[in-house]
Amino acid sequence: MLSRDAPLLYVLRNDLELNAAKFGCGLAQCGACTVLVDGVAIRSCVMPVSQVAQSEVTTLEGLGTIAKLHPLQQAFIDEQAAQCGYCTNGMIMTAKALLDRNPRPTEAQVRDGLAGNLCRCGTHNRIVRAVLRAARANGRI
Amino acid sequence: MNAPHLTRRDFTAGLGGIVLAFSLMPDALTQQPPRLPGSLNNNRLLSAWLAINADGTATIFTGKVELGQGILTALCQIAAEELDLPLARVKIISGDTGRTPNEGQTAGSLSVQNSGTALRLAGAEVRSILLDLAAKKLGVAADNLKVADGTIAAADGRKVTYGELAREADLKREATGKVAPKPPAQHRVVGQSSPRVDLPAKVTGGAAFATASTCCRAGTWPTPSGQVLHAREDRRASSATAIRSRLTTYRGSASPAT
Ligand code: FES
Ligand code: FES
Repeated sequence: MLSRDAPLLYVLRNDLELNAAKFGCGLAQCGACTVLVDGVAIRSCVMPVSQVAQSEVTTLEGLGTIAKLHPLQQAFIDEQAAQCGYCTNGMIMTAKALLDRNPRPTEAQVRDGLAGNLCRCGTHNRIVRAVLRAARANGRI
Repeated sequence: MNAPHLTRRDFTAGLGGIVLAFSLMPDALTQQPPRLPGSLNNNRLLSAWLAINADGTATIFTGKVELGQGILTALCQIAAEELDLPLARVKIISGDTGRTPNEGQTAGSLSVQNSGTALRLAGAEVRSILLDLAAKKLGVAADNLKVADGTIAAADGRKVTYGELAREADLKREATGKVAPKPPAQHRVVGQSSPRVDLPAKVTGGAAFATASTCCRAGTWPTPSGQVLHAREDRRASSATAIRSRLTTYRGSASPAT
């Protein structure tokens, strides 16, 4: 039985087995758990599931598949923008919301937009390049 | 009683003799199998490392796991190089305790050194086994055969593929470690940058991490390097795919029970 307070992240991972969103800190500090709620990037580790009951939740699984990649996913592969890949979900989902708001961001805007997403491996520069590449490819759905 | 008189000096000298005799005993007498390089030493069957499939692909097995260091890609490159197969036709199974060789931890920058060495030598040996089979089939000396992209060809143009030889190739035998791998000057795959084989799953939320396995619920615990993943992972993967196809976008209004 789900509690109304259950974090959305737990419901996604444990109940729906949608494992793209990751548990990093559980404290809204790292961004690994980012999903879109009605198009806005939020941290699902601190979002009670009851608060999204009337909303559309999009996870990384919903962007594209290996057979049919979203331009952002393609750009992350093209730039080889991951080491362990644990932050990748949050990077892509945050970038998705960013590009939806601002399809042609400058590099500074991308850096700013991803500033709250931590990458322990140090892949940041490739990630920024990937987002800019996706923007050039007009990465909007 | 007629017990032999044994002085302390005699006794100690005798001990020395015994110790020396053991330490100089050759391998054959102590029945120790010869030491093989890398992880081949503890996982000696060729089939522990490699399978040649009827569709012409190879499946390779490693006890090392991907932590972001790119090891799955590197090991695929090493095997593809020795087998003369395109990288795309090498699939890797990693850290599945039911199927992969036990290589202990993934740590200390030892994966290429230990797993890579094993796959390199096993790959070279399997290639030579396939060559010998092809030589018999085509009635040509193995030296006169050429291998490219998993196809073995005689000078007169007759060919046989790895896939066609897959069933006859008996890999359930100990590696000898004696077939020389390619000299680095002949490398075409190793030494080139290859796209990471694990990234497609990672950018799409696929099964790429130990935390996506359901084994914990069944009461098993993952090791720090994630090597607990068992057959169960497949079940999880297929159910996740099923869920994903129904529900790529999860509508929260599927309302949480209170
Ligand atoms: S797990 Fe949610 S922000 Fe770190
Ligand atoms: S790639 Fe490892 S945390 Fe970013």
